[in-house]
Amino acid sequence: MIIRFVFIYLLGFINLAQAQQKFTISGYVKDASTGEDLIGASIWESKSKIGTNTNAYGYFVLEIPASKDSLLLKASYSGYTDWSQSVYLDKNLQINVLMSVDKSSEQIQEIEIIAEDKFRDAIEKPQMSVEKLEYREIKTVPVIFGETDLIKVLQLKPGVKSGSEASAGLYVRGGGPDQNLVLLDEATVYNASHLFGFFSIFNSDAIKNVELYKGDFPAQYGGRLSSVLDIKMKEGNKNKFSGTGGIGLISSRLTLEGPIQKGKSSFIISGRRTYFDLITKQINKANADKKDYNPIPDYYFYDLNLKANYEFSQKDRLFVSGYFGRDVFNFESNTGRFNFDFDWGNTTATVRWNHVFSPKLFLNTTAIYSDYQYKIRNSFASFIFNIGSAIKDYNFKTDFDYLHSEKHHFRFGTQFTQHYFEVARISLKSDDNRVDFNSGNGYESSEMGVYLNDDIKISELWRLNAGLRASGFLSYGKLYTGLEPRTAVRYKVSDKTSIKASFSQMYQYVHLLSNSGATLPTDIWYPSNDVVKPQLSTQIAGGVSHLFRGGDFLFSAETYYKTMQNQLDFKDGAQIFANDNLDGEFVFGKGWGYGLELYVEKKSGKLTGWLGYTLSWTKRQFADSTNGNAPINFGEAFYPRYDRRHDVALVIMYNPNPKWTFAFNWVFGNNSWLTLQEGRFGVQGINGTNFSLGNDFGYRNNYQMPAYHRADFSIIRKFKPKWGESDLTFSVYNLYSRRNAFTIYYETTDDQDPTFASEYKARQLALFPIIPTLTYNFKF
Amino acid sequence: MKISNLFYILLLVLISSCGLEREIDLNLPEYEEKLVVECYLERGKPIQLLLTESQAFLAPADSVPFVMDAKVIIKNNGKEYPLLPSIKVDSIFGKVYNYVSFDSIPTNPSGVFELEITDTKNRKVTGQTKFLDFLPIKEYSWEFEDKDAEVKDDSAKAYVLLRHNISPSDDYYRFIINKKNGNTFANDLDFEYKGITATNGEITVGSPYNYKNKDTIQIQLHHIERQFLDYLRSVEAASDAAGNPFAQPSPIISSVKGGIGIFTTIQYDEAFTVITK
Repeated sequence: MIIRFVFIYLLGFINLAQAQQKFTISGYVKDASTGEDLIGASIWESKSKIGTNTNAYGYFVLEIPASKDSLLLKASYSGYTDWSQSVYLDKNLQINVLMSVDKSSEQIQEIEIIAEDKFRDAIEKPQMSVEKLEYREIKTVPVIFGETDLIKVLQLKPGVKSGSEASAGLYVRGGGPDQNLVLLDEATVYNASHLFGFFSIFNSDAIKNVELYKGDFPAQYGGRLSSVLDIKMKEGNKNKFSGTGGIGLISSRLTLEGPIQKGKSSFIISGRRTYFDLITKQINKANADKKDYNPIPDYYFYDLNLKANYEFSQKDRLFVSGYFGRDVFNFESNTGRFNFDFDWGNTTATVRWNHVFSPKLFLNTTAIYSDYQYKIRNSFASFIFNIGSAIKDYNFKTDFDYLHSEKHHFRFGTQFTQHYFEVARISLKSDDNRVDFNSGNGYESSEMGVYLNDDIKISELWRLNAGLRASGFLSYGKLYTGLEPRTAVRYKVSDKTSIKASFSQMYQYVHLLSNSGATLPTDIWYPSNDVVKPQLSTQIAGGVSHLFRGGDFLFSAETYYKTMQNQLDFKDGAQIFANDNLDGEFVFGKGWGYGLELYVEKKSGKLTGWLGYTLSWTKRQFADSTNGNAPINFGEAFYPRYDRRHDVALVIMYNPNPKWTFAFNWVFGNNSWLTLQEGRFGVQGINGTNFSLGNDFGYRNNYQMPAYHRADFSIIRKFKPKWGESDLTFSVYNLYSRRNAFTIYYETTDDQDPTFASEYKARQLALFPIIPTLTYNFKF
Repeated sequence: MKISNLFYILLLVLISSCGLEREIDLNLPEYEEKLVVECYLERGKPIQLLLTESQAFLAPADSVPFVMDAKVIIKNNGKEYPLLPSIKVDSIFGKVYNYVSFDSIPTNPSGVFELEITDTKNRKVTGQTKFLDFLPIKEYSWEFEDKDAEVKDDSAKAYVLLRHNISPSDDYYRFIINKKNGNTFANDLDFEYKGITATNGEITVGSPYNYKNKDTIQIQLHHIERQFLDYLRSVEAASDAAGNPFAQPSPIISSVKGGIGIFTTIQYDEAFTVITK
């Protein structure tokens, strides 16, 4: 018996030894014309069927059994022609795969390739609850004012909501707008929108890759409860100088890119700016002589993206990138004795080093600076009043990508972030120094995380993604730690059908304090401390992915349940500014959400698009009054403003030929919740006069506005002038001019100032009627 | 100006030309009427109290519904001040009260004053207050907007500045300017604040450019309780939030329990002056 066992063991060892006769094929997958790394490209060996995807930096490694015969290596990527090459594998190989955009076979083939890629991942990978956007979708889907916006395209995906009309806010699976980790080239973006939140800060001309995780968060991400939006900027054309740009109704933009040292290094610089202020300045100038004329405030926003990279060798590459954007609002009175300047925006900088230790071990090390701040500067007569808040991060992270074997692919790393908070800094001064006041707090804290993730191919049928993140937060001696398991499993029912399930936990150690119903630039980021505990979310999800009609269509269904602990809000009547003890102004609570997301997508042929439906519930409850503050909403649970029961999005794109593209989308959903006054009372005060109106608001979000629906349409006509390419995009927002309620308010029936004795009627306010827009885009 | 209000104003400017408003019917939950109290105790003066009732927002109303069938008592240091239903009108400031006492508050009151109201619908409202120190105006001044201009403008307006010292206790204040209009004074400015911006123990507050040459104004400096500040701010916040989609509406923070309203003391210094260039 023992001899038999030893024999079998030795036989196994010999087999193992034979199995170890493997070689690696590694390298980068790049765009042949620009040298851009391609993220998520598929590459596989056709005989052994062993394949993988390029990582977030375009790198891949395959481990393939040695063979005396030639092998056929294949690669495919969205919008590119298939690539293949015969190789002899008698040693480890390094290959850079250069893929070309397929121009000869026009766009139809291009779209077919996209379908092959995306749908394969949906069936093969355990990863669920993720949305990936393609450049073509961002550019084609019609949006308001013709301003292409990746966030507004994401809002058309199941489980993602906008919050309000035309908003670039993100509300993911019942989470709040502050619970999204928004990364631009790995740097945290703390406020991702311009102008009331109507436009996101992301200039689509400078964007290469967009991924939104709604759940099943990969272990390398941490710090937010509800979603991760990971955006990668383009690197710049390594082979030739080129440019893209556009002239629109709201803004114009220009992107220039080119080689610094051909084939080895490149740069990209991209800018965008609005025009409002140029118009208002002229109006003010024309009316400057009028005595009673009140100047119109100036407003504009701009973005600037920069990136450069250098390839030292096949093993070492360095990237430097940055973003700077501001919204600027200025007002100056006619006499010059009252000035109001208000600006806000983000700054990020990323320095990234990629190193290949061995074909199987890839390193990405990143140093990141991230900053968000707002400043208000007022001057009145001889007084100056300034107010501002800021958050500033210095972040260092290291990520390893290690292919242990065909069955185990490890990703592990560590991250350290030093946060600096400036909370409601106020200064008030007068020329005579009789007023000299400063308030506000500065805080410093450290956030860290380590993670390990193993993508385990258990068998052909079963695949497990097992991850664990350990995180910590240290603030003035108070240390919080947490374990965040991230696990997903896939069972492949057939080549066309997979069933998936996931479990994930996320801690959030920094919090956005808002005393308004919307996200405003003046909201304050605040650290966890003795009083404010880290938020924690737990999400379980299950789903099915299924290909049908010959693989042309993908159907997916996901259901989820999410809980959120240690939610915080301001108490009623909280004093936020000139208050050095904000901890006393909070009320703590919890939240939960659950829902079902159905999705059908077609990506091949002339007609493409998707249909998504979400059925969901989300609630908040702030009943904890242990700190002496009264509970919110009398301690009862309530629907947050952005809760929507039903949400439908239909997107159709039609490419009859390379010159023309037509796009249509239609959205339908229950509208937002609103808090309306239920009662009124007379307020006399000590000043007397007529009774003024007292507003008795009832329960929070006591009224749901009428259902929202809207259709948009766009036509893109492409041209090929001698100097490059161009297109004219005609888009129509709100095609049938539906008056969707943005808010509801009461108004006196006689249009006089409101008093208690006035008679009132309810009125609904819509924001945008039908809006046609013409945009000109060019590329050279 | 609150930032949310600033965004709201910009938004209204943006959409004003679009004509995107229309009247709608609402289906709101049934509203339960609440007692509404306003009572401001003053040293040496009879007690006057206004007791009204709130109503559903869209219900028709010609006037404030007075509640005249309630039992109203104020107690202090073992003494009871019963308030009887009786309409009393202040014609100068246009104020009205519907419960008054025969007895006046002592000129040097002490201790806590307690309010108790019970009406025939069995609703009960209670509250407490106490008197604070009198706080004098230290100085006041004004300055016209064309002060530094080479060519003076007859229509230029002035702002008014008020200075006072902080109080060692109950560090909450209210600054009021009433402007004379014929034989009456109408309120022109009213805001409450905490004394956090003091420099060397002195607080400076001011008005916008609101006053023309030869305007007659009444300036008042009130020393108020925290509960009064909370009530005033919540009434203002509720008013600002009405119809403003960027604001987070909050309930009225009343100083009384069982209803809406304020039961507090007032103590103020005042000055009358004519704005001159």
